[in-house]
Amino acid sequence: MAEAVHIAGAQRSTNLGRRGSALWIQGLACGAALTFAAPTVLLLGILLAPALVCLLVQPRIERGLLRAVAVACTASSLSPVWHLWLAGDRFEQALAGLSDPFVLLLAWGAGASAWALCQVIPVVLRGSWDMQTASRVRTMETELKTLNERWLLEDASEP
Amino acid sequence: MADENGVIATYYRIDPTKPALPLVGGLRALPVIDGRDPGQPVIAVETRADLPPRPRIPLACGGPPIPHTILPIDYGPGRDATGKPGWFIVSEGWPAAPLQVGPQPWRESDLMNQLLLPAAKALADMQERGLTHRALHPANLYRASPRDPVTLGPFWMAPPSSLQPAVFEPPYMAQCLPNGRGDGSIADDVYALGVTLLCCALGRVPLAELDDPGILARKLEFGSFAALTTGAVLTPLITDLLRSMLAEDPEHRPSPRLLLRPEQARARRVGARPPRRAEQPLNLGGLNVWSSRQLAQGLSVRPERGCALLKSGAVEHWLRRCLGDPQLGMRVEELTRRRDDEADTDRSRSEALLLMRCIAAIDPLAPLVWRGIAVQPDGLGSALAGVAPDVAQPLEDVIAAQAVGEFCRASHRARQAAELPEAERQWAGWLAARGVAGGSKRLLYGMNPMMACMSPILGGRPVVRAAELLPVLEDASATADRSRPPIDPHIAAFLAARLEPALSSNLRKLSSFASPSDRLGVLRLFGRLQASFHPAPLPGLAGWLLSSGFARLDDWRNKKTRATLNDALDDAARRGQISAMAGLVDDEEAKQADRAAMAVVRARVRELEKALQEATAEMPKRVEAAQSLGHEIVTGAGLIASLGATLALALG
Repeated sequence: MAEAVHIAGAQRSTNLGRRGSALWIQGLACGAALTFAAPTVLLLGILLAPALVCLLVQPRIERGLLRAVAVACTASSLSPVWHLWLAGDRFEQALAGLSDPFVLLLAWGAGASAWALCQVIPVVLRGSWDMQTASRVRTMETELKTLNERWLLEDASEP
Repeated sequence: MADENGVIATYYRIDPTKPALPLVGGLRALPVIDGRDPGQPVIAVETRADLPPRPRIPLACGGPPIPHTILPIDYGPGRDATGKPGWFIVSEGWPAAPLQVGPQPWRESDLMNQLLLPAAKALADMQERGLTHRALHPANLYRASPRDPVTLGPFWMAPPSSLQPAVFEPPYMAQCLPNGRGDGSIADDVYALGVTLLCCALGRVPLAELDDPGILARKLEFGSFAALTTGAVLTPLITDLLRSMLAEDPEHRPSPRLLLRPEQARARRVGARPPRRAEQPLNLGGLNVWSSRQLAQGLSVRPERGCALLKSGAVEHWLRRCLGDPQLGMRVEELTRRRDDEADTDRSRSEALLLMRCIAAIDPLAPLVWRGIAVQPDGLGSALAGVAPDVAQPLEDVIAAQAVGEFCRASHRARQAAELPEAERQWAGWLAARGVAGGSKRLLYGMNPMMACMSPILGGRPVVRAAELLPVLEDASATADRSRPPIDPHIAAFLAARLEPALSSNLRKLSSFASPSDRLGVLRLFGRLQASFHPAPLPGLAGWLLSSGFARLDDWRNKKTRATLNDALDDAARRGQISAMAGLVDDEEAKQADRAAMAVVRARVRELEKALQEATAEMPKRVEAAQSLGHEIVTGAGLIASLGATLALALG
């Protein structure tokens, strides 16, 4: 028993240690990114704002939805980031990009579209499947009814 | 078999213009018109269920005639002049007037020529055929005029001796149940002839002032000859003949053949000693007995007291000391000790066995006595007919205890000891048989092959042979309650007793009439009966079987097949073809096909029900799956867009 408690405690401390390590590595990466590519971080931070908002506003949101919004925002942010790097990754260039309403609208619109699609597509899929199932159930119920009409099933003992 | 007009055995019809003739026992003898020869005097005797006819009638029918005897010609069901159904035995006619006893005594020559010689001739011929009369007394002797020889009246319509007054029977027969006296031997007929001879010689019936127990007591005390002839004035010839004819031991009586030569018969001396009389009586519950025969009779009428005295040793002591018969005392002591050694858990049964053995040892002529009821072993079957349940139960106990063989051995009846135990095992088997066709009813009909079925379903219509059952049921169907089955335990036991084993095999399996298999068994049986005995249509009975649920189609699950079969059953019932109905319900091949199809259908139904359940159970999972798939699609589209943008930027 004591050994089991000891093992469980050891496992718990190992998990906490790994999570702490990941957080530490993430913090180090963010620090490095801020140090060496602060304009890119600024640009991406603004363009990926819908994903960040989703993450902050709805912490319990499905990971699939978050992932879809993030991927959509990322896809629309590739071009501004490319141009920022081509211009030498300067703050002026990052702010110029952010001041372009088309860039912001595209990135945020892509995020919003992804969110909207994530709401609509499951409904459509479910409707389609339900229709298929209903059709199958109707067929089976018709067959059952026919068998009931032709055979005396109610008193039939199970073999 | 009776047709619709009540014709008996094809040719005989009751003559409505002639009155019924008097007959012993209150039975009806009705004049009959013979369809082949209307001038021939023929009489039909109506039988009664409580007096089953002698089972050897078929042997007596059709044989050569016996002089001075009425023999049956044929038998079967019929209707009397009022239309009432009955079961009749047809015989040649006999003179209308029975013999009158008195007031004047007959002359010796008349006694010889008109009574003794013709009766002895008849008995001698019967003995040669292995028959006994056992109904020989003046009221059953007939003659056309005072100068004619007597004719022995009918004897086959009731159990042997069942209609005999006690005075005409030897003591060992008189103390039995009237129906339980058995066939006996021709010596018992000689005894009855002797008493009849005495009646005619005296012009009166001796001991007429006494009741049956009184007559029996007198005969046991003084011996039959002395008891009957005390104070009588008889010629020497008649006295000598009567002394031998009324001998207590049947072995000592002259044969009928010897009686045909009266001078020789009177010269025959019997070596019988008078019964030994005790110095002091033994008191058996208020009954003083002085001799061994009286003791045997006393033990039979006072069984409880007798058993107590036997167990206490008082009987053995009395036999040794008072009667002076130490050998018999030793035998009784041995039997009493044997009873103590037998570990029989049923005390009442072991006491009954003890009494039976002791009575048989004390008086080898005594009948089988069981709990106060006396019967001859070969009269057990007829004794069961028409007796109250409290009498029937001890008789069944005799058979259940297989006491007949024991009795025959104890009373040194070699012939019966050889024959009866085997029959007794069969009787015990019938009694022990379970199901509706077994038990006491099976025993009753098995032991009485000429007894009519007592089922209330038949409404008093007599049925003696299995072939007569279906027409009677058809007749009864018009008024019967059709919701109740046309068969009951009486009919089932009756058929089990009367049918060949091949036909009655279904009956042995019947446990009730409620289960589907039993009902099918009954339908199958009736179908076979119709095919075997009565091919004519029986629409009433067929409809009755249908209404009371004996032709059910529960085994069929296909509704269309069932409807088709139902129509076919209705049609067969309308046509009165029970065998066709049985064939429809009992088509095993069709049933197998239906069962096989039903198995396939049942499997398909299970499959469908499972699929439906799964479809319902999938709904919550499907919401989740749709959401997940939707997200994946959007993510995938985003990734493709990212890849496209990357390529576009890389390619300039």
